[in-house]
Amino acid sequence: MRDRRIEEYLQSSLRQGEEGSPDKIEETAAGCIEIMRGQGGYGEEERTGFWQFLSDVLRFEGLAIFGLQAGVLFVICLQVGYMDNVSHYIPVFTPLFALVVMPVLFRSQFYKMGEMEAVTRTSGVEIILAKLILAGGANLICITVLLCLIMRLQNSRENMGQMVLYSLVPYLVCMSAMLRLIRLRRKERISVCAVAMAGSCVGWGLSAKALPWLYETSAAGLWIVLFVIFAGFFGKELCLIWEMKREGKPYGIID
Amino acid sequence: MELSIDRLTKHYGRKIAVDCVSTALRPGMYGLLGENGAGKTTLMRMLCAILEPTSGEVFLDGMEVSAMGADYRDLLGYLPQDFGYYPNYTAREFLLYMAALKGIPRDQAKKRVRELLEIVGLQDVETKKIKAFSGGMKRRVGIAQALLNHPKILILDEPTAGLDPKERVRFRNLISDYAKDRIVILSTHIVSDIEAIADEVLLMRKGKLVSQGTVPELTKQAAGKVWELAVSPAEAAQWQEKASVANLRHEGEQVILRILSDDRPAMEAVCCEATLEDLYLQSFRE
Repeated sequence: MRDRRIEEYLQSSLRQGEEGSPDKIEETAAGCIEIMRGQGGYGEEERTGFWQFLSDVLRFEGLAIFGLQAGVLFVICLQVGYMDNVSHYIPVFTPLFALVVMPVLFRSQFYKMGEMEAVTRTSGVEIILAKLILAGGANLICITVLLCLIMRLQNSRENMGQMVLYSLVPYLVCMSAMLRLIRLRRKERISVCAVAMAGSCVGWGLSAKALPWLYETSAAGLWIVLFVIFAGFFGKELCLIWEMKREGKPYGIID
Repeated sequence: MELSIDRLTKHYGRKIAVDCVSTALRPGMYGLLGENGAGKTTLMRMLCAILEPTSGEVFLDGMEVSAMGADYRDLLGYLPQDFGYYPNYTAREFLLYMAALKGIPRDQAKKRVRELLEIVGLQDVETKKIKAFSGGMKRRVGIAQALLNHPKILILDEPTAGLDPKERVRFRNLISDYAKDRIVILSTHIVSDIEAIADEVLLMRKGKLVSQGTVPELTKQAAGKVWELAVSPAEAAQWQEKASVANLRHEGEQVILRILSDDRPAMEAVCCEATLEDLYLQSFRE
């Protein structure tokens, strides 16, 4: 943290040109402490921590987050029962879970609340982080339920690892793209992002028909490479969010 | 407590929105006046640390505000000019949501929300959805959210827009009481609001801070430049074309013009006391 008065005080102490005598060092330290004490006393009111904030976000946004995910899961489960080779279509379903996170993450921008929320203690970054934790949790539950259902329909645990990759790779692609969009504040591209996610569902669906080799055991290596790459992108976005939270910088689309 | 603004500048491409503004604000009420596009909102957003300046810095008691992060935002109350709301929230739910974002513990938040709903006169409609509110009621909800965390620095962008005269008076009294030991920055086009409550006025023009001072100090600048002239209705139209007419009122068969001019506009013109509105109009005459 930069502090102009401490900086000036230390500069003037240095200008006196004396070697660091213990008395002088002690005097300088006491001076700095006095300045810091003088600057204290703003935050005398009690404030909640991140976990309390997370439970508040759950209280206000939980229904929307979990309700949308449950709705999508229900629709997918209805479809899965009527499909052949259902494991090949897992990449079609998982971007839909990411797609329904969008209304929750972009809610404040849609309702022009971004500016007001950004000035609060939590700022945009903690709000996004809390929503991501909740939506991510809901996504993992839904994907797990979906995979369990597919395995039950197939009566086999074969290719379980591959099915996990089929679900996570498209999900990570969509989430990384969405977080990058929010970070770069590309407000005008929210709709582009939604279209791209819906398009990726179609793309994966076509790949299941046109590129059957992609879903064979021999292609597992390619899926692992894709997983590592996109997990890296997703991890990078999360690190940037965390860094911005730490530095207290504005994050997200503030209109 | 001192909020110092040091050569704050914001460029949007080639356009200069705020041009090297420097000042120091201590507890009190500051009225920010300026025409549309003068840079008031940009300045306020930079003071709230949600807009990064092109150059320059804002310090609170010597500490750079962007580096203070959550500690600085904890001291802020902000009402943007155009703010939204979640239509399905009731006034009470909305304020509780904002209290959660401000890190106010739940039990304290409930108490504070009740107090504020009473202060802004919305206690009877606290369970009604905001989407059913009138413009003035929505603005009162906005004012209440800005006051939730007992802010030490309160920044209000056009807070009285859409309020009826009674609500405006109520708001003015509330805010002037609030500014005793806090920094309150208020931007508005309603000069009478600023004249009534501001300890100091900051006049902005084309991104620059052109004047700063108390209302008497500033009106002194317009002293001797405000004239009243009684003319016929036919002459009034001509005067409006050739002079800067601040006001026009009918008295019987005559029209009384309030003219802003460095020199006596006519022999019959009478010099009168300048108001802040006269200074404002004079500053933006060109």
